Amino acid sequence: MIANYLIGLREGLEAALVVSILVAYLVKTGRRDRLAPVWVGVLAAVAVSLLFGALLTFTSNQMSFQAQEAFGGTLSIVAVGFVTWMVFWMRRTARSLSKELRGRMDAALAMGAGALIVTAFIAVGREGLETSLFIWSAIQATGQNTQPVLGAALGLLTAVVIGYLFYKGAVKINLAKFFLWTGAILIVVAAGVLSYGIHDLQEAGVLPGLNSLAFDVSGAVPPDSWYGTLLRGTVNFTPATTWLQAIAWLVYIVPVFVFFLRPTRTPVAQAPVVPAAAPATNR
Amino acid sequence: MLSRPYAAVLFLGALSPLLASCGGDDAGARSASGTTVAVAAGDDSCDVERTELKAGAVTLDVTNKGSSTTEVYVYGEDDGRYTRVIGEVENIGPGTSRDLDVDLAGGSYEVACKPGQSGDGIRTPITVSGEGASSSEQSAYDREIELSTDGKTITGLDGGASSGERIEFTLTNGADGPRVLEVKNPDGGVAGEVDVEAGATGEVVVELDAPGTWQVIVEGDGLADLVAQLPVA
Repeated sequence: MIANYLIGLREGLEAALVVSILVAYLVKTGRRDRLAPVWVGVLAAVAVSLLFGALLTFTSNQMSFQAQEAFGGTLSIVAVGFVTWMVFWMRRTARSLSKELRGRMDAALAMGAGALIVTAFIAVGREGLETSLFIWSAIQATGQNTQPVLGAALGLLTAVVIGYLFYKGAVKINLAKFFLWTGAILIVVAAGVLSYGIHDLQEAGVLPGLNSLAFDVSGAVPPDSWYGTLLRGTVNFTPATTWLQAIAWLVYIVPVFVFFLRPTRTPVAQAPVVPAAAPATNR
Repeated sequence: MLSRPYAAVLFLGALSPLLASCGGDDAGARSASGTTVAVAAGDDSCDVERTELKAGAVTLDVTNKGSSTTEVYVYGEDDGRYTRVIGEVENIGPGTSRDLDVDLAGGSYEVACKPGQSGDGIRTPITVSGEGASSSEQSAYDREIELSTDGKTITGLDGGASSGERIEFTLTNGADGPRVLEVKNPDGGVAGEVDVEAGATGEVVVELDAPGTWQVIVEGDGLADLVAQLPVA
């Protein structure tokens, strides 16, 4: 029960985090009308994942291991692209907000509407197939044992609750802090997703170096412990990390953070603007 | 405002790679001819129902009977170590079952259960007989044994070998017709074979995965087999 619970929690946590940041962002910038595309993306991802998981579980259809890993790995790297885009899209809006240039923000949002669906879809769908295979196997087991499906459901539910609480907290903090912290969190999450995607592609044999480990702390951080679960579910920390994963993680996170934290250029006004530094007074 | 058609297009767009990746895998065709092997994974056990298999599609039906989450791998050989991932299924929660589908060519493999999802796992060696044993991954070897035949005897096989060695057997065919070089393990199973035309040289790589008396056999159509013995310590 506990073990199944932790799998459900781990698989749901990262998606819950990204979606809750997306929703909090839209609510904070007064664009609740843009929430619909986000939920469309989320529901579509859940539906597609469950459908394909069921097809693979209950019919004779099979997906080879390599295809599954290559699919998961590629989707992860696509997800990194979308989450990175989201970070800088939010950052640009923060700048516009600070100068009360509503027109520019509206333009950014208009462009983002379609991308909102895709971002939400990818955030949830990335691990969706694997999660759905796990859920269907738990459902299959209910004949003999209801513990697996109960544990899995409670784990996913906990992930959603954590996402909701995170959202509640995020809408309360001031806008400057919001953009800084959520941006930083998303960058760390995206770096983890990249590293995870690289590992999938290494397992599929698309990329080399599966067995040259940079470090292995599985002894100190067992993957099936609750803290291992939280680390894996949020920042995709794998206790046994290959060199290629570690290098990709660093090559992504260092420049992106430098770019994210650099002072915002101000094309209109001369006043120096720290990223997302100006709190919006009436939002 | 987002229009409905826009949403639908995006939805389908996101769907298409899934459909493509599923359809491109000749789904369904493989399971009909495949073998199913039950694997019972416990917290400190990993019982593989059968360890001698025929080449082709194999489904490992894994049931987690332990109390921690497990994952199961099939490893192929790479430079004498079983590190190449042939197939893997993760997130097998306690009390649940998952299928691991792999396509195995002839050769030796290891099945690993990893309770707690870490470490090298509990390994079970499996042997797959049949075609495909001479694929490129199998070509690395420890040493060469050069054999020749004149149609009446096999020469070049002196001394023994050690268990675990990978040996490339080459046969120079000095007989007047085509011959087949075959290497059999102590159980009589064919570990490798190669066709050699008259006047040509052929080679096959065999891993001596068990001690005992191995046999090197030269066969010709309608002729008595020439047999030489290879003691493996």
